[in-house]
Amino acid sequence: MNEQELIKQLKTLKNISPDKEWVNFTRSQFIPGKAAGTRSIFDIFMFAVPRPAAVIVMVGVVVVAGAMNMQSAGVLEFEVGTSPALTASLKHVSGETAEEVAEIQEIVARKLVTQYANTANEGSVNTVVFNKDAEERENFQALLKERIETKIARFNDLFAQLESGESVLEILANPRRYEQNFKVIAGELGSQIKDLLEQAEQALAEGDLITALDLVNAIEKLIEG
Amino acid sequence: MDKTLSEMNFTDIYDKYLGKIYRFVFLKVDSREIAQDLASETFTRTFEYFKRNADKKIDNIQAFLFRTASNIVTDYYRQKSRTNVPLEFVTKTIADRAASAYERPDLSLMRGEQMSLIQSALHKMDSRHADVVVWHFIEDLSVTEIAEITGRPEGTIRVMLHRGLKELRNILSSHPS
Repeated sequence: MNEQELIKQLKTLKNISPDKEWVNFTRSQFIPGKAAGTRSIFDIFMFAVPRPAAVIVMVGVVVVAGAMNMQSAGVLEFEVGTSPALTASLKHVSGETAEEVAEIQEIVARKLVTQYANTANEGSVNTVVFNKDAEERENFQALLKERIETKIARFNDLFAQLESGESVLEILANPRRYEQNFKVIAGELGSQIKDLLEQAEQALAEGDLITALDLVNAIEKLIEG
Repeated sequence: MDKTLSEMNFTDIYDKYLGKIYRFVFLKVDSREIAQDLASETFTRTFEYFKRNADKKIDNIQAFLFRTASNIVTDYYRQKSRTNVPLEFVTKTIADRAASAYERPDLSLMRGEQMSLIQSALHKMDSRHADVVVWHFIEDLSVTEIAEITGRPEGTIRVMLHRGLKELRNILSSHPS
């Protein structure tokens, strides 16, 4: 192959282009003055994203809702252990989820070593290193699972109340702001929140606890506003 | 550029350079999803820089973006050597994507395979040579522009281009097909 032919072949690589939906989604982060709004949330939820991208979509949603800075989204990294639920993988999860996992690990055992490599503007990397004690790992999993199940149960209860036909006036009269917000937001985004809830339940069933936790936290952030 | 960073519209920059940055990153990593993540990170970091340095000016936004992207890819490979690659990420070769995009499967397979071969060959090259080849022949950057990105003299860039093409040809000619 001579040089001209090679250059011609190289130029065919110009055809590589990014996915249009991803382009628009990413672009939305940089629109100046774009405040949290229902329309933006709907736009994001219109995308049919494959499941591996679901967590990234969730982080995007809470950015639009103004509840979280996307730049604080961290990469959660676990050492490979015997637990399949905690197999080392690169996941983009919210800063809140990373902190919650760290909190759970502290509850479980004082001996756990946690290393935070927190570089400004580069997100945070949390490494959870389990001691060889298998019981610590089991306790950590159990507590994490319990936390997720509690949150999912709460959302399901709230949906059940909504579907039982409580009137808007009754809802607004409810002094508890969380439930009040849930019902207002669920009314607008009910099907989307249910989709996310289903994904969280599925992740929990598959043992993908970090993804499940991240999804339920994102729903909470939507509700809290 | 005469405008300060605060005066520039970041979305215009995004629209203008996203394709180039994405392509540059895609040709260096092994999955579309990872390329999206790293390209997104490039613009996020640049956006953050803009916010922190609103009164400053950047003479060459393109060079800034490519340097940032290059650093992010380096960091990615450094981290990758410490962690497992997630199994759920689907790795699609260019051949797969090209094959699905064209109407004639036989022709698309041939084109897709050729593109895949070239990408593979770029991976095997000295990364500095691969970068200048990509910038000049795919992204149509001039030698001057590449010199600004790399901080090297223009003469050096010309030599690297010449060596890069030669290296690429050797790698491709040694391929069985």
